[in-house]
Amino acid sequence: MDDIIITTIADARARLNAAIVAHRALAWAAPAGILAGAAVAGLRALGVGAAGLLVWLLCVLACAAIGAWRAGLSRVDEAGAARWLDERLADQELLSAALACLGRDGSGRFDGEVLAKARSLAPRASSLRFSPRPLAKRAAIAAAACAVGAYLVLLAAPNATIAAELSEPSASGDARAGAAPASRAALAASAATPKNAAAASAFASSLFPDDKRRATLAERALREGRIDDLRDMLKAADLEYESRIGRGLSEFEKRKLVSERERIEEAASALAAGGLSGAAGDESGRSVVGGDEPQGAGADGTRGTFGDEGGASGGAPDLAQGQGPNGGSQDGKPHLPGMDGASQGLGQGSSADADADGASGSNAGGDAGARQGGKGYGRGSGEERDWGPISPSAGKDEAVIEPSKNSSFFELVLPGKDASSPIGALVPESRKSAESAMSREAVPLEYEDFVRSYFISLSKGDSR
Amino acid sequence: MNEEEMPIAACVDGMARAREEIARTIVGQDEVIDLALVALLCEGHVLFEGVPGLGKTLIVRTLADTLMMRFSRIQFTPDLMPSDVVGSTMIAQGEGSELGLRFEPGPIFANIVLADEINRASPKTQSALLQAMQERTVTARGRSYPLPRPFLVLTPQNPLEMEGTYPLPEAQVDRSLFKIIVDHPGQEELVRIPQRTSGQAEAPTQGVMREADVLALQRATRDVVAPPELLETAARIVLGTQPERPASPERVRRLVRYGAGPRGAQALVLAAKARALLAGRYNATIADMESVMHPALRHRIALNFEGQSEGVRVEDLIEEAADSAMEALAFDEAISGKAASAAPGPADGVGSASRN
Repeated sequence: MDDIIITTIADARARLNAAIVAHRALAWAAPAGILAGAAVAGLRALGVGAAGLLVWLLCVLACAAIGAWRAGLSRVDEAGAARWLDERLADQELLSAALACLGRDGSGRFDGEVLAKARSLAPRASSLRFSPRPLAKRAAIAAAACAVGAYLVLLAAPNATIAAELSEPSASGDARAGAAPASRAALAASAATPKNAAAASAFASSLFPDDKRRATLAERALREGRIDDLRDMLKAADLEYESRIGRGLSEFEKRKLVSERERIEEAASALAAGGLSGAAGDESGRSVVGGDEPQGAGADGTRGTFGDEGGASGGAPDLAQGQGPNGGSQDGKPHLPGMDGASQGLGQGSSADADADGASGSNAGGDAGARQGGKGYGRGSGEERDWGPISPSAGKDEAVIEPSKNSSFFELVLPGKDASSPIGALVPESRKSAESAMSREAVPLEYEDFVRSYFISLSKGDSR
Repeated sequence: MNEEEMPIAACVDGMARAREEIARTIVGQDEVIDLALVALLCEGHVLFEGVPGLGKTLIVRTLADTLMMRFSRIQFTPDLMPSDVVGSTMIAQGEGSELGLRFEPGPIFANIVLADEINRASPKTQSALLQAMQERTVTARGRSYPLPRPFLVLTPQNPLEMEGTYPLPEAQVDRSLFKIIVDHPGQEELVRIPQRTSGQAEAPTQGVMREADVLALQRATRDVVAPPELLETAARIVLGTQPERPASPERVRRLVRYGAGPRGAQALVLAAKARALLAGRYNATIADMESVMHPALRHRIALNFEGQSEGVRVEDLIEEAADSAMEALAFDEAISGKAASAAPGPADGVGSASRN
């Protein structure tokens, strides 16, 4: 007899769960359609070969599947289905009650009555259907979103120029290094002038006298301003020399290799110091490249970089000093052939209250006069602040409780002592006692407001 | 329909008649009357709160008259002793010429007791009454005397005059099923009250039920079916009033000193069952529970200083806890929409008990 109730509720449960799965899958598919479309379009524009409509479709389907899976995790049980039927039938929760009666085998006093009435409801419950409107609305939204996503994918045709550029061996290195495009372009332009082109060629040849392939690559890197690639090449060469020097070679060969390696190391350290890649520094520490007009001695590289990070009070404007005339080395360090004229600037900052020290920077100029500054960086070391006495009232004759000027709590200050106790730790207990006393009406009526406002003001002070 | 259900249906009808009879005397306090009847079916006790002159005592007396029960009134004063309430043992002459000890029952031995201004009694006397309310027995000289059934204590309290009182401890207040606020009558009622009372005295209230009928209804109340979601919702509402729970509403956590406990959940479910039975149904609903939520919980929640100074109403906090509990039951918006074509509309009579 009760099969009809159980069957009705089970049917409703199955339909309900199917609807929930469909709704959730569509709800996930809609944003996935657009987001995956944008992502795939982006990849496609970057020339990633695998990105296409199929990948987009797989992404959308995967998201829809995740939505369906999550819906499956939160699917309704019989009680939920009975409740849903009760809501729809407005039957004063009769089916839920019937389910409870069935759970205890109908042994209750009124179970028979409740079950009989629930059975009479079963046909109407079975005829309940979902309104297709919400599902259709959600499906329409998902379809529209997917259409937009697909359009984005189709719109983003692979860009041959970008792809070709990226297929160059150095491109990934540049991207990895994150060098400023403007800087690269300017440096490349600078190296492309006839004079600088010759210098770049000579410099590259001097770096790799026995390796024509590497020399060519280094020259190209210089011309195109791909300094990070050049740096990588130098590192690789250095490692190779190290390996070769370690083997049993003749003294002559060893000396030659050591000499070559020193040159490589010099070049690498010059690069590390920003000699090649650095440009005139701006206040933010980013490199910019100046023009290539010849500059007078001492004039280039004078724009030190400013970086200040300090303590709470901050650093005062840093001082920047530049030195190094064109065409010479003032600091005793060897400079790169063909790129002479490097200068170094040193910036040092100091703050007025010695909370922080400034930043140092270096810059080097090219032989063409390009003002080149290194990256600036800053370092601060704050000293412990002098907070003064623990309490402004320390040393008075009586212990006082008052808001601390230096911190966010009240203090209990003992006479002539430094010890203090945050009153925030004392308030809750006293407050509980007061609340209890007030609820017992142990506090006279005319004092209740005063006690209440006193503790509220303490709480406000405590949270300040 | 079995034979046992007939008297229940008849009792439900009798209770409806009793309500009408009381409403004939008491004007504009229908909700108070309903809640008092619910408390009677739940075997619970009631705290009445309202300013003097709103008819609290009259409501209780009329209730006793209508249900043909023994009524007793105890006016609590600071010098009232426990024995003045529960009774005392005295020397009395037995059947022969021998003298013996005899227990003389106090005024608490009645079906409906009006404990007027209980907060004026000393804690010792309050304790004696509250123990009797809880255990429904009185112990004197090591012997227990059961109190009559049904047993309902109604305790009116005056919110204005608190000087020289001994307020009930929170733990004792928690033992009352309901705290009913008796409000001022509206304009329409204020017109009807003098109209009725300024003329010739009306016919006295008629008794329409017997003790046995009330006892049958009390037993039947506990057999009313409570669906699992009603029990879960009651638990969620009660937990939602507790400030120490992170899941409670923000205002509850900020403004409440302590919330309701297990007795609150018991009161909610039992009162929902009684409400359903009085409505002629054998299954309780969440709507039944919502209708008794405020009187069942308001005296179990204490505000802290912020709550008091902000003038927060406990009822608003209960509403917030209930809203939060109901959210757990809510279906996804897409599937909860009611289909106009399929829904049969209000199910009049569906789930109703026969009222033959």
